[in-house]
Order: sequence, then structure tokens, then C-alpha cells
Amino acid sequence: MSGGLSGLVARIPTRFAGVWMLTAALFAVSAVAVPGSVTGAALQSMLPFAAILAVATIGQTLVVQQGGIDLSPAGVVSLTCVLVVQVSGGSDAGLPVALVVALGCAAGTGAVTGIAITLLGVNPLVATLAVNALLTGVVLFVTGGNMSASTPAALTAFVGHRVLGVQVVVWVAVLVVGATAWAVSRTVAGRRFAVVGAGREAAHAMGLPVRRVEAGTYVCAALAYGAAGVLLAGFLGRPGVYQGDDYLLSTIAAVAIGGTALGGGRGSVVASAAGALFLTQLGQVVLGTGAPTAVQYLIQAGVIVLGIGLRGRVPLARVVGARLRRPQLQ
Amino acid sequence: MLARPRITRRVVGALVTVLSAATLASCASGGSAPPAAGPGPAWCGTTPIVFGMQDGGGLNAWSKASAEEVLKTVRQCPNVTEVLTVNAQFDLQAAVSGLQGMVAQGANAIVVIPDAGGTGSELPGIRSAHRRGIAIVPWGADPGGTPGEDYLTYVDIDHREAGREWATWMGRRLPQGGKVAFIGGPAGNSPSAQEVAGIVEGLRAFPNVSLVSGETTWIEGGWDPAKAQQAAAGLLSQHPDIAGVFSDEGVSSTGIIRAFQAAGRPLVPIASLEANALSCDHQQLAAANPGFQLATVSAGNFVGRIAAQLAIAKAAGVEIAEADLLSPTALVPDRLVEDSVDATKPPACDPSQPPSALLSNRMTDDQLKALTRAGGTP
Repeated sequence: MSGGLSGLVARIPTRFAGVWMLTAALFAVSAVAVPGSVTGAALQSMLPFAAILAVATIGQTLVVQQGGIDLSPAGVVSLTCVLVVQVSGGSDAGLPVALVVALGCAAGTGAVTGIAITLLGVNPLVATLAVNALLTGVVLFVTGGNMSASTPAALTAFVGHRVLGVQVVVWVAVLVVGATAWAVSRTVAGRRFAVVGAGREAAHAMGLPVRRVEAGTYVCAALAYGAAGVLLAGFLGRPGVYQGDDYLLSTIAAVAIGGTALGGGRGSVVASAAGALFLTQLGQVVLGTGAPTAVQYLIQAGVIVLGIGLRGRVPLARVVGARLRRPQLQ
Repeated sequence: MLARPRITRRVVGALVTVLSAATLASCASGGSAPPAAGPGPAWCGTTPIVFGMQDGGGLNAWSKASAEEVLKTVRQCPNVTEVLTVNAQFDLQAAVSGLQGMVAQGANAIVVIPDAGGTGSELPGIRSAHRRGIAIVPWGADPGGTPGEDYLTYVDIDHREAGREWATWMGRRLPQGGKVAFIGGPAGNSPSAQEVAGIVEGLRAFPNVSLVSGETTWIEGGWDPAKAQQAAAGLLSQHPDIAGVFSDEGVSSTGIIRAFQAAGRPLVPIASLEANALSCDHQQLAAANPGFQLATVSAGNFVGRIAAQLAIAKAAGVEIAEADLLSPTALVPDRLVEDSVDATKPPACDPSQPPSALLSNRMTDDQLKALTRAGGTP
């Protein structure tokens, strides 16, 4: 029994185990500090936001694994939100076209970023910042600063529909994160992606199409932001024009908490998703304490810094693993 | 060796150029002379006027409605030969240079919403325009400084009164008392601070209603539906028995409604700023949610009409007759424009308008005069 469990723990890379423990600890503290924040109703309110952040964070994780930092999630999420609403005109009949246009534009944006970085050699920070600014302009151009309609009812109903008591948006996130994790670790393209991320020079020497893989990363990342934008539009029902603004820094924070190395290389979309869950629950608990806003920000920042710092210093998984293994040694 | 191409600098240069062009194109919207047939009202005067309109924020629904309101007044005057506009997108530098640009182009009547930077940030530019003899009227955000010395006058809606109106309405909805909370805008903003002061004053008459969100602070909803929804979810996890909510942004209030629905809680009375979407939600949900009452105050864009009238009359050297004056006071009372328990002002939902539309702007100048004088319903 304990051997099976210790085997399982041993298989989780130490680097990514920390976020699960942090998250578990956070929920334990939540239950004591603000009991209301772990009730079914509170979790139902929190999970959709965590799910949407998790989907967007997939994109950031992929980019970070390739040694970049993506500053365009805000723009892409806002743009897809806007396109879903404006192209469909709020009608269910227009929804399929709107989804194709929104995700197509997201992919196109990723392609532009990818080409700028790989073929033109623009620094990823500069390229994604520029694309984000460009998208902000496009959003303004498309809307004139004002959404003309609401999200089509079909999308809102789908996203909010409950399966086994949990909203579809959460299931979609679980599915997308799972599928991405599987693709990265089990497919040829995924292995290539990992090898290029670990070292582009070595990957090039191995004969891998480094630039194509890197450009493809930005397309996949933008698609993840786009998917998050579609889910957000569906979940909110009446998204604002710059609804994606919150996703710029929160995706980077979720990746950092998840344990993906910010310099590139090893990464895990599942751990990043846990990071997204951690961040969202943290925000919710801090709100639930009813503390003044200034104190809320201080608590939030402190916990995040402490979380990232602790995870780097204490090999939590090894500690737990050792404890589980001890009976076997006797 | 995998070498990156060496054309980086040129490409970055090109990108930067394209981006700056796009940004400039988006913020410098060109002005055009408004159509005005026949002679205008007496307060327009006859002096040719170049009218300048500057918004420190710009480009959101509130700002667009504000610009429309200003133009409603400007269009009445055939002697306005040109209208210049600047939208600064909350960038103080853009706001300052935009104001200087309008002065340089010969604007002699200017209305400005000084909401880029904090209170007083835009004051030096405003003061210098005033000293050059330009009729400049800040409105909608506190410019700092002194009326008459640094600018002609500062007109705004009375946010404190809005808070009092909400509190009185809420107190009457809750004869049994209960917990209420205020979900406001970004931390530290001035309108929310004035509103919470008004709410506290208004609730004094209802000692069994307790404001759980603090007497000088509020729960930060960021004037954003997603943030407000999360804030309301947090509120419900702490106080599942919340009996009423104040909110100072209309579309955000729809996020608050969604939080109640997600938590499976019956809807409670909401006192809010107006929004088309909020009134439409009320129309849809009222029958199934008998506890859901709604009262809203106007977003106050009409203050732009008052500011424009004062600026034009001053620039033209004309005294406005008492009967023509849109508002006799610089601080305009903010009273309920929609109230679901008052048959004379039911919440107005117009499905043909955007969710963020502010329908109180439809009021005529005469209705506006009634609102600013006797406190009559618009």
C-alpha cells in the first residue's frame, strides 16, 4: 500500500510536486481561516475562473519552456472575447463562424509572433509586447470601445451547464490540460518540443526543425489563450472590451508557482494548472477574509513569494517520499 | 551553429513604426465641425468658437457616452466652427500634450475630464490654459485647484448624494434589517470613496442595517464584471446571509448577480449605477426572484452638456439666462433614475442597445433642467 503510494510520489518530478503541496496547504488553511471559502457554492464560484486561467496558462507554460516569456495573453484573450461577441452579433446562428474567426485569428496572431521571433530574430519579449499592443489597437478598432452585443446564449448555456455537479468550463479545462500534457510527453511532436526547449543548439545538431518547433509553440500558445478567451466570453456572458488584461501577469505567476523553469527547459502544464488553481483560490480566500484591499494585496504577494521561494529551497516531495518509504527500509 | 538572422534592428524599427502609427491613429481622432442649422440659443453668442474636448481616459462606454453628451450641446451653436478631441487613454503625458495641442490649435472653449493620473495631475495644463483666457471647464473628475482661479468652474455629479439615495432606498427595502455590502471600483478611487461616505450617512436612519464592507473602504470590484463576480463570490463565502448589495458600475452589477446564481443564493435588492444590461437582467429575473429589487442612479454623462454650455457661453462672452442654464449648481444632485418599486421610473431595458448603454442620457435638456433644479424625475 505505502509502497504503491511512495512509488507514485517518486514518479512525480520533485520540481512539480511542490505546487500540489502548496495548493493542498492553501485549501487546508482556507478551511480554517475562512470556512465559507471551501463550501460547495464557493468552490463552484472559484473553479471556473481557475479553469479559464489554467487554459491560458498552458500557452504561457509552452512559451516559457522554449525560453521565452509571452506578454500577449492579455491581447489574445481580449481579442477572442471581442470576436466571439461581435462576429456572432450575439446570435446563436452566428456562433460557429464567430468561433472559427476567433480561434483562427488567435492562431494567426501566434503565427505572426512565431515568425517574428524565429525568422526575423526579434527578442520574444519585444515581439510579444508588440503583438499585444497591436491587438489592443485591433480590439479598439473592432469595437470602438463598446461591445455591441452579449455572448450568444448557446455558448453561455454550454459553458455554464453542469455535468456531475461541475460546470462544463471546468471539464473543458481538465480535458485540454490533460490532452496537452499527453501530447507533450507521448507524441513525436511533443518530444521534439521538449528537446528543443531543453537546448536549441543540441536539438539543431540532432537535425530537428528548431525554428518550426519554436514558431509552432507560439501558435499553440495563442490557441490556448484563444480557447481561454472563448470560455471567458461564455462564462461572463457580457465580457468587457479589455477583459483579457488580467491574464498577462497571472499566467506568468501561475507558471512560476507551478515550477516550470523561467529560463526554459523543464516544464509541466499540469503543474501550471495547479498553479492557476492555487492563485485563484488564494485570491478568493483573501477576498473572503474581508480584510482591507491593501492588506489583501500584501497577503497575496507575500504568499506567492513565499510559495515560490519555499518550493525552491525545500525539496518537499523528497521529504514526503522519504517518510512514505521508511517502513519499507525496516 | 544555428545563427539568428541579422536583420533584427531594421525589422524592430519597422515594427515600432507601424505600432506607433497604429497607436497614434487610435488616440488622435480628428475633429469635424458640427452641423448647426439656423441661429443657436442666446447663450451660444456669436463669437466664432473652436471647441476642444479632452478625456483623460477615453474609449470606453462611459467616455463615448460622455463625448456624445458634450456634442449634444455643441451642436446647438452654429458659431462653433471646429471641434477638437483628445482621448488620452489614462496616459497623463498624452493628456497633457493633448491639451497643449488644442490650445495651440486655437481652441477658446475647452471641456476636460481630468482623470489621467491622480487628482491635480492635469492641473498645471488646465491652469495655464485658464490664464491664457481660454474658457476651460473640468468635469467628471476632480481637477484639484480652485474654481475661478485655476479654471472657470468644475462641474460634477454628487457621488455622495448617490450613496445617500442608494442607502435610503436599501434601508426601505430591508425593514427587518440585515447585512449589506458595497462592491466598488479600484481601491482608493475618488467616486467610490464619496459614495461610501454617502452610504454611511444614509444608513444612519436604518440602525438595523449593517454595512459589512467597511465605513471608509469597499470590496474592490474593479468596475469589471469578472472582478465584481469574484468579489461577490468572496463576499458570499464570508457572509452567506447578505441582504443587499451596492455597486457603482452597472455591467459589474450583472457579475454580482451571476455570483449569487452560481452560489445558489436567492437574489437580493441591488442599488447600482445604471446599465442597459442590468435593467435587462432585472426584467428577465424579477418574476422568478421576488427578492430582486433594483434602483439605479445615472452615470452622469449629462454633466458634459452642462460643462460645454458654461465653456461656450464664457468664450462667447455671454451670460446664460437663468431659464436656459442647464444646472444652477456646479455639483449636480445624483438621484435615482430607475427604481423597480416606483411605477414612474421602472428599469429601462432596450435590447437594441449595447449591454453597456447608459439610457439615462436619452433625457432632454428640459428634463435635465428639472433634475438639476427641483430634483424631479428625468
